Formats: sequence, structure tokens, C-alpha cells
Amino acid sequence: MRLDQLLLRNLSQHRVSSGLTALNVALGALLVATVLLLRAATADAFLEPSRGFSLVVGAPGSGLSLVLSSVFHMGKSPGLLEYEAFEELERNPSTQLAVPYAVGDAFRGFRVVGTTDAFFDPRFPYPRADTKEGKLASGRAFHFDREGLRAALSGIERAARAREPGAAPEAKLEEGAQHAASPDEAVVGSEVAAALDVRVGDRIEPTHGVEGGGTAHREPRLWQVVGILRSTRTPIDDLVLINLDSFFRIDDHRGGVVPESGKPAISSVLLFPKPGVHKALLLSQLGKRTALQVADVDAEVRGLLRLVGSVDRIFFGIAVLVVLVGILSVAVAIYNTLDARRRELAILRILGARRRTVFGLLVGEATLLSAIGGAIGFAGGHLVVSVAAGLIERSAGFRPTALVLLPEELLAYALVVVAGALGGLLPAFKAYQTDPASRLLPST
Amino acid sequence: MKVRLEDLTHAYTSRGERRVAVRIPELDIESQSSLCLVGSSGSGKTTLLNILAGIVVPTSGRVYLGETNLFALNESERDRLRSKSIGCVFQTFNLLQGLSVLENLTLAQRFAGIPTAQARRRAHELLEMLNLLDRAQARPSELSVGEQQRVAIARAVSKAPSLVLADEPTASLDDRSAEAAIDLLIAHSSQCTLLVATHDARLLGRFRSVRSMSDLSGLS
Repeated sequence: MRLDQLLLRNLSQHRVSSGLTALNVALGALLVATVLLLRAATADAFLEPSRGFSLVVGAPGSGLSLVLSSVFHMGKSPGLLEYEAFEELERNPSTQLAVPYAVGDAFRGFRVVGTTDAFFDPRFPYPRADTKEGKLASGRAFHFDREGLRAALSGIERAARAREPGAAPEAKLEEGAQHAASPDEAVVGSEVAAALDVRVGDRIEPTHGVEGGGTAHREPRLWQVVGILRSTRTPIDDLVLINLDSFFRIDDHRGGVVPESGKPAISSVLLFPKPGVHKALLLSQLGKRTALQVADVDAEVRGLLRLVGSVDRIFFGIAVLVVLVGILSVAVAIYNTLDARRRELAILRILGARRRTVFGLLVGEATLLSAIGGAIGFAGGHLVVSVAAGLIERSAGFRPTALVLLPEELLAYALVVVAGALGGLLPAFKAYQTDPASRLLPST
Repeated sequence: MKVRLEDLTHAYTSRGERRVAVRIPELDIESQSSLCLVGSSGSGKTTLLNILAGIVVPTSGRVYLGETNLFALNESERDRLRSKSIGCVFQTFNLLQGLSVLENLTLAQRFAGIPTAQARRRAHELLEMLNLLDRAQARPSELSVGEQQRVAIARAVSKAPSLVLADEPTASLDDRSAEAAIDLLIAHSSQCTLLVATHDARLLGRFRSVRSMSDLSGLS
């Protein structure tokens, strides 16, 4: 009989107490695994949609809220940015691609974004495709007419001037005028299409306001859905994209001007610098401007994760404490059975087992219990995350995956096993000191 | 294995009073001989066997097992010597309750460094001789008292030790079982030195050499 068999036999002999002890460790390990998986999923939920984005330019305010509203389509944009700033950024020699966003409307709970055909440029990170057509699951991109956009913008400027006190009567007449334009066309994200059963050819009517129920526009307008984007598993799936000129032609948006200058306004510009030093150049140039702000997407997201991380560090700390309590219970359980087992250990000594063999047996038991408990716990953590994935997706907006084995989990498992071995040291030392003669027979 | 004791004393303190448990000025036991030690309860028989097994360190004196001065060895070396060369039989059998009969036999050989396959073969041979082969997978608690003592004796001799120490091996047994156990012990100890401590009068006629503890201490 080998010593490992003896160890297993000892555990099976006390299978109820061994099982309960391993369960204690398992509960702690389950919490650790769950926290690690959710932390990784949270980081992925923020990092994945932001991958490929570089800079966001918008109205002065919080950089984080600018990134959240423009990349994650959460919360409100910090303010308005002159449309001219977009054209200036587009012409900047350091710029590779500039994509304007104008927000403020929604279609049955999904945000409407006015943008240009630059959104379908293969260099725009989502949906990933080498061609404009490749970004679409069905249909085509909306028609974008820059001349129509300019006409819409000049109409907005004229309307703004007409509202100024003392404006010429002919100027006031321009308000509400229609301009030559591209058709009102929309491309919807895959989630919008799936959730609302929207198909190419359908007509949709956005309402004003991005949160809550929204209010109907004064002049009802319908946009024809001409395309559906491929799924990206990012917030882009939840967008309704319309061409920017049609966005500005919405009656209620004609007042969409920067109050200080009276010039047409958009919400933000997603800026993709040329490779190399150009990002630093743009950050430096734009950082000096007071009428706008530039946010580095990567820096803002990592800052947010650090913020979120401090909360999950607390959860992780609690989970580690539970593991330690579990390990302590291993030590206590073995220690408590020691008195009953001293005779058995003494027999082993009489049979020729050395002190260190007895010591090793008890440390081995503690290690094995922790290893078994840890394995059950980590497997349980994956099961919990797998079962709760749907619920988490509905409440938090991202779906954690249980089908990964994180390097941190392997490290945590190794630490649980090592801690178990350390927990076995005290009872093992007591067993080490056992005098076999005193435990076996009375003196005659 | 020849056993020699010189000026052996083991004393302990109880309630502030020093008591001598064992005092043997001199004793020689020839190799492959047997000796029955008799004495009343508390006369030091078990203490002497524990000293010979190397698990109780005497207060003074020397114990030679063969040419080896037992207590000149460190504890680990004594453990190794015991595992290879000394078999012990106890009044209460001291079988490991969590293990099967077969495992009790192979574990003792494992500590003696005997390879697993060889240990299993030897265990099967012994169990067959003892008519216990069909009980090989049974737990000790499933055996009768007589069967348990036979297994305990088989365990002690399974590693072919040079010295077998038996402490009251028949005290828990009825006449028939006691007779069978002592037959077994003597039969399987023919190649080694056998020392049996007992106050069981049934055994005295089975040994050519019977010494009392008081005789050994020179007090008689």
C-alpha cells in the first residue's frame, strides 16, 4: 500500500467531516472564481467596445462622460460642438479619419445617431470589415450627400440669425425652409433589428430625446431602413444611424446651434489619428483649445476601470477572507480529529513510519482537502457565472462568459492549495510530537 | 538477532515520586531463540518491550540488537531499524481500522521498503496459511477477535523481521484462539528471535525459556 492510498483512505474514512471541510473551502473558492470572472467580464465589456477608438472631441466638460456618450452610448453628451470644428479636424494633417456624431433622438428606446458615410469607412473599428459593404449584414449604407448637408447647415444658420432680435423680416422667412437633400435613410444595428423586428424597407419614426419615452417631433418624418449592420457585440448594435443632413433637417433640430456662436452643432467627433506621433500631436494641439475638449479613449476607459476596480477589490478581499476561513476550518477539522487519531498515528510509528511521514500525511490531507474544495469551488464559480450570464446581461448590459480559464484563477487555485498545506502545519506538528508508546499500551 | 541488555534502567516520576519501571543488570537472548517474560501487572514488561522496539528511551544502560547499540542511533535511524527488523504484536492487536486486512499487511511491509508487488504476494501467502484469504478485503472490525490477532501476528512477521516482540498476545483470546495464536507466533518466528511478555499461564509450557521480571532485575 502506498502512502497516497493511505492518505485517500484516511479521508474516505472520515468522509462526512472531510466533505464538509472541503465544502467550506469550496464556498470561498466559488466566490473568488465568480469575482475574477465578473471582473474580467467587466473589463472586457469596457475594453472591447473601445478597442480601435483613439480620440473623442466634444464640448468642454468631463472627458469620461464624452467617452461614455460617444463610444458606449451611455448618458448624456457634455454639450455641443460647432460643426465647423469637425471639418477642421477632418482637414488636420494628423487625422486619418474623423466621424461626427449628432445625438438627441431615439427610436423606441434605441439611440439615433446622425453621422456621415465615414462611419462605414473600413478604418472605423466596428463592424470589422475590409469594405463598406462588408459592414452590413443586409441592405446598403445610407446615401450621404455632403452638398445636402451644407444646405441643411446653412438653413440652420439662417434660422438662427432670424431668431436674433432685430433680424431682417426676409431672414425670418427662411426659418422652416426646405433644402435640396438626400433621402431620409437609416441603417440599424443588429440588436435594434432583432429586438424590434426591423427589416430593410421598413419605415421608422424617431422621437426627440434619448432617455425615457421621448416626444414626437413637430413635423412627423419617416426614415426608410436601407441596411442592417453586422453584429459587433458592442453598443453599436443598439444604434439607429441616419445621415447627418437628414438629422439636421428634423424640424426640432434647426435650433441645434452652439448658443455662444449661433453655429450648427454636433455632439462629438470620433477622431482616428494617423499612426506614429500624430495622436500626441492632436492631443497637444487640441488640448490648448478652450472651446472644445479632447479625450483619450484608452486613458479614460482605464481610469474608469480603476474606479470600478476599487469596488471589486473589496469583493475580492471578502472572497479571500472566506477562503481563509475555509482553510482555517481544514486546520481545525484535522486538529479536532487528532485526538481520536493519535492511536492510529502511533500504530503507524510502531510499524516503522517516521515522524516526518506522519507529519507529511497530515499536511497531505490538508492540502488534498483544499485542492478538492478549491477545484469544486472554482468549477462552481464557472457554473454560477454561466447560469447567471443572462441575468447579468439584462441588468448590466454585458454577458460574462464562463468558458474561459483565467490565469488569475490558476494562480488563485495554487494559492488556495498552498494555504491549505500551511493550514495543515499545526495539526501535523502536534501529530509529529505524538509519543507512540504512550498512545498504545498501558505500562504493565 | 542476538539481544543484549547492559545495566538497563528506566525510571519515571509520578506525583513527585521517582519510580523505577525496569531494572535489568544484564540479559542475553541468543539469536533465533525465544523467551517468555512473565510478571504481574506493572512489573515493567511492556516498558521493556517498548525499549527493545526503540520507542522508549531508557534512563540509562545499553541495548544491543545484534552488533548495534540501539540508543546510540538517532530516532530516525531507530525508526528505520524498527521498520525493517522488528515486528510487534499487541494485546489489543492495534490493527488500522480504516484499512483492509490485506492493506494492514502490505503497509507494514511498505515501511520496511519491500516493493508493493512482493508485499502483496507475501501478504497473500500469509493469509492463505492462516485461512484468512477470503477475509483479505474485510475491515478489522468485521473479523472475530481470534482472526484479528492472527492478522496482527501475520502483520508482525510479514516483513521477515529479525526480532518479534509480543506483548500479551493471548490476553484477549479464549483458550482455542490463544492456542492457535501462540502456535502461529512460534511457527512464524522460527527464523528470528522471539520475546513474549505475558502473565497468561496457558503459554508458559510453550517456551523453553521463561524468566520473570523480578528474576531479571535480580530481586528474587
